[in-house]
Amino acid sequence: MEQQFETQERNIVVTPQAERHLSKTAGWVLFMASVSALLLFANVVVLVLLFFSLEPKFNYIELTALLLLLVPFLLMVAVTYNMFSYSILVKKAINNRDSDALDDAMANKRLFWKHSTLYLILSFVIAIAVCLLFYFTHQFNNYF
Amino acid sequence: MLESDMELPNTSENPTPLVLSEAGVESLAGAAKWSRIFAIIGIVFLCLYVPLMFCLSLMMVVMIIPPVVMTGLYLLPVFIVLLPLAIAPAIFLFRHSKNARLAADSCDGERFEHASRNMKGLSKYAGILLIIYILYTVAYWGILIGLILSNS
Repeated sequence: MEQQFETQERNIVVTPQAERHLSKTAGWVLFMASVSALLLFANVVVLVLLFFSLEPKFNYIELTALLLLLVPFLLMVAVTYNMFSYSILVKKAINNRDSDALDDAMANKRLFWKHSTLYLILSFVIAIAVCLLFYFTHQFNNYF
Repeated sequence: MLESDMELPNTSENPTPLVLSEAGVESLAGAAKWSRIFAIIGIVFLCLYVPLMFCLSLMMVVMIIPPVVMTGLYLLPVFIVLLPLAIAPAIFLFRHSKNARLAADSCDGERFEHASRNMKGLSKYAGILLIIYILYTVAYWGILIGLILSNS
């Protein structure tokens, strides 16, 4: 009996009300992911313009700053991908009564929060790092 | 009760209930942990960032250089509105993470429902704020471009 209890799987039965909440959440997340994808596209344009606006004389400091700024950008790409995946998988799980899709959606949700947290921390750290880099190398004089 | 539910025919009135397996429950626990960290960091950043940006945009408004003043005028209302509004998503996220963790620990469907309700509240709130912000940005730039074109 004890052994039976130990091997018992930990499952959660999703109530119909929770399904409705999940479905609505997926709709809003899909909308936010679409806006995020548009903003990322705009970011790509800005980054490309910044890259080509670098002075002809190769400036390692500006290039380092640009590469550092790529890190939060890539994290944001991951966050957007997780948002799309989460919403699509939740819709699939509810429409097809597919519990495996719901498991995958939860895995994406975990990754979404993980990447979002890393984005929040790293974008702050990198912004400070770039400011310090420009300050100590007197790069601000090029702009102001 | 669960077994009897599972035996019901798969019709639109009695669809097969969705079940979160052990892997899904583990992911839910992970999501709860990360969302809690996000909520804490988010609140700390809001407390630092929003007042800082508010002061910065206020400084920009009182400057004489026109583009800087325009940017300040654009940002100032955003940060005035953002400060009181930003606390609600943090509350939703805290409730979501708390209920999701409890649901993962006790495998309780009711707790999962509470967590889903708070997640829905958070995403709906953030989505509506995003729509308002997009409308505000479009209206602001529309007016600005209109003014520039009418002057030229």
